Amino acid sequence: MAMRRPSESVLPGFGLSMGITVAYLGLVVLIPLSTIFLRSSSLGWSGFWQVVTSPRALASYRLSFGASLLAAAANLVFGVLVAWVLVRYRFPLRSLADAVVDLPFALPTAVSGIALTAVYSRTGVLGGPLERLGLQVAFAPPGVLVALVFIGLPFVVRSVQPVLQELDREMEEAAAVLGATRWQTVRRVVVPEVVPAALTGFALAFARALGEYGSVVFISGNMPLRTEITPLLIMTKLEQFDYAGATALAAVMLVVSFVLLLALNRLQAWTRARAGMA
Amino acid sequence: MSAPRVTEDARWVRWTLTGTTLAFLALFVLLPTAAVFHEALSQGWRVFALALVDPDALSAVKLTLLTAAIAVPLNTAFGLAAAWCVTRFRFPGRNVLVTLIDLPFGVSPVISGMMIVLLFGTKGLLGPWLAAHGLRVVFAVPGIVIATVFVTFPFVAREIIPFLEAQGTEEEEAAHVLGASGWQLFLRVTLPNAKWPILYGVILCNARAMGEFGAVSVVSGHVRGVTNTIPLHVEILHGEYQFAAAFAVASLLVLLAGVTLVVKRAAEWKTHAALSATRAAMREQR
Amino acid sequence: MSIQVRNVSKAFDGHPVLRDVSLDVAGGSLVALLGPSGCGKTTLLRVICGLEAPDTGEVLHAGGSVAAKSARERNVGLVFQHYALFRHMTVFENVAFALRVRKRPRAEVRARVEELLRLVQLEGLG
Repeated sequence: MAMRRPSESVLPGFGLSMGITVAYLGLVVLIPLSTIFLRSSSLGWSGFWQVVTSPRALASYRLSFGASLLAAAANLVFGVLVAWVLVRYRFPLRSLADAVVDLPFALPTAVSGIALTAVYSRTGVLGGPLERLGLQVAFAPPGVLVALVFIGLPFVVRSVQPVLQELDREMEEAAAVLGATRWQTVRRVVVPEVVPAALTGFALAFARALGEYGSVVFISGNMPLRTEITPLLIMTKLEQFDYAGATALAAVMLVVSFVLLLALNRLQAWTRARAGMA
Repeated sequence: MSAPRVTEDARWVRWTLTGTTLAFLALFVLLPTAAVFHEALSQGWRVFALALVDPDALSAVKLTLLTAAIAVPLNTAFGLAAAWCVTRFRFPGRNVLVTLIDLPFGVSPVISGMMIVLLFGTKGLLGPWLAAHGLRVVFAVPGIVIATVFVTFPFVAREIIPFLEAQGTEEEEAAHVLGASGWQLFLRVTLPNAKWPILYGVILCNARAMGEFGAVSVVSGHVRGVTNTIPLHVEILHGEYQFAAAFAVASLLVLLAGVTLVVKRAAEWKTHAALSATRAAMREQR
Repeated sequence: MSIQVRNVSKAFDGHPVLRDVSLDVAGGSLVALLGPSGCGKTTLLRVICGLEAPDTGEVLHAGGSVAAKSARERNVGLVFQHYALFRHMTVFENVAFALRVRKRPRAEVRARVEELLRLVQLEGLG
C-alpha cells in the first residue's frame, strides 16, 4: 500500500481533516505554549536569570531532576524484570499481575498521592517500620522518590513487553545450539534486542516524573529547599500572583521537556529501524 | 528423562524472578491501592456513606462528569480527524504534526493549567476582552473544561493513529472505487474497523479527564461546591484532616480506574485480534 | 559422527508428527530428507539436535544416547529455516559467536572466521 502525496491520493478528506487538525492544535497547543515564552520575556534577561537561578529554584531542580532520574532508573531495572516475567513465565495470578502494572497509569494522581502518603507516613503500614529503622519516607526526599517510581512503573514494562513478545525464539535456540549457556544467550542475544525499547521506556518514565505534580505534593511535605519539586514552586508563585516568575520557571521546564521529546523521538526511530532489520 | 528445553531458564531463576516481581507489584502498587479502601472505611460505613452524599461531594461529581462529557467527545473528534489526516496522506511537516500531538504528554500539568491562566486570566491576553463581556473562564467552570481538554487531547489520537497506519488503505480505496463518497467510506469502512482502538483511546481519555488534578488545580480557584472536581475535593478534605472522607471520595476514583482497566484490556485484546487478522490476510495475498 | 534414531515418536498437542521413526546415518555421509510440508522433517531435525524431546524412542550420537544432553551440549550444528541471524551483530560477529561463547582466544577466532568467510566468498564483510 503505497502512500501518495495529497495531490495524488485517491482518498478524499485531506483538506477537511488537515484543517481541523491544524486549527485544533493551534488553538489548544500552540497559542497557550507561546504565551509562556511571551510572558517570561517581560522579565528581561537579568530578571529571568535571577528567578531561574534563585536558591529555591536550584534546590527544586536538583530534587525534581535527581529524583526523576533515580526513579526512572529504578523503573528501568524493575520494569525489564517485570516484563520478562510476564512474557516468559506462566504462573497463577499472571493476568492479575499484568493488570496491576497499569494501575499507576489509570489512577488519578491525587488518589495515588494520598494513598502513598497513607502507606509511607509515620503511622503507615510501611512508613512506621521504616522510620523505626531510621528512614523517614513521607515528608522527606525518599517520599518523592517512592511516588515517582510508582507513577513511572508502567512505562518501561509496557515498552519492553511487546519487544519481548515478538522476539523470535529461534535466535535463542540458535545461540544454544552454537554452544552458549543460558546466561550467555540472554546477555548476548536477548538484551541487545531489548535495549532500545527499555531506553524508550526510561525516557518516558523520566519525562513523566519531571512534570509530576499530584502524586508528589501530598507525600513530599513541600518544604522549600528540601522537598519542593519544581512544579510545586511554579504553583506557589502562581498563588502569589508572581506570574512572571512562574512563567520563567515554566520556560526552563519546557525547554528541558522539548529536549527530552527530541531524544525520545530519536530513540523510537532507532527502535523501529532495528526492528525493521529482519 | 531428558534435559530441559534450552530456551527455558533454570527453575531457581524462574522462581526468584517471579517471586521478586510479585513482591514488587504487591508492595508498590497493590498496597497503596488497598490502603485507599482501608482508610476510607477506617471510621465505619456510616462516615463513608455520608462523605459520598455530602452536597459538596455531589457537586464535585457533577462537575467531573460534565467536564468529561465535553472533553472526551471533542478530543475523540479531533483524534479521528488527526488520524485520518496523518495516516492516509503524506505531506511535508507530517512528522512535526505528530510530535505536536504528543506535546501535552511532555508538559507538566501545572504548566498546562498555567497557560490557561495566562491566556484567559484577568491579567491574561484575553482577560480584558472576557471581562468586558462579563465572561469568566479562570476560577470558573469553563477554565476547568478547557484545561482538561488540553491535557487529554492526545489520548484518542495516539491510539487510533498506529492502528490506522497498520491497517492500510486497501479497504477504503476499494470502497472509493465502488463509488462511496468520503463521508460514506469514513463512516462505513474506517470507523467500524477502528472501533476497538477508538474505545481504547476514549476510555483512557475519560480516565484522565475525570482524574486530572494538576492542571485543574491551577485553574479552578478551589471554590467549594462550585469549581471543585472530585480530585480537588479529595485534596480539600485531605488538607482539612478529614482523612476518612477524603479516602471515601477517592475510592470512587479507584473504582473508575478499575472499570477503565477492565474495558482497556478488552479493547486491547480485540484490537490485537483485528490487527492479526489483517496481517494474516495480507500474508495470504502474497 | 554417526547418528541413529530409534523408534522416535513425537506429538504436539495430541497431533502426532513423528510416528515410530527410525533412521541410521553413517558418519561422514550425506542424507537428504524429502517430503511435503508438515510431514515432520523439521521436527525430526530438532529432535536429533535436542531442541525437542521425543515422546518415545531415543537418539544416539556416535553410538551413545544423548537423551541426557541438552542441545547446547550435543555439539550439533543446525541451520534454521528462517536463518536465525543475530540482527544486532555484524557478519563477523555472527560467524564468531560460537567461538566466542566457548571463550576461544581472539587471534584464533579471527583466523577461523576469516577462513570461513573466504570459503563462502564473503571475505569483504569480515
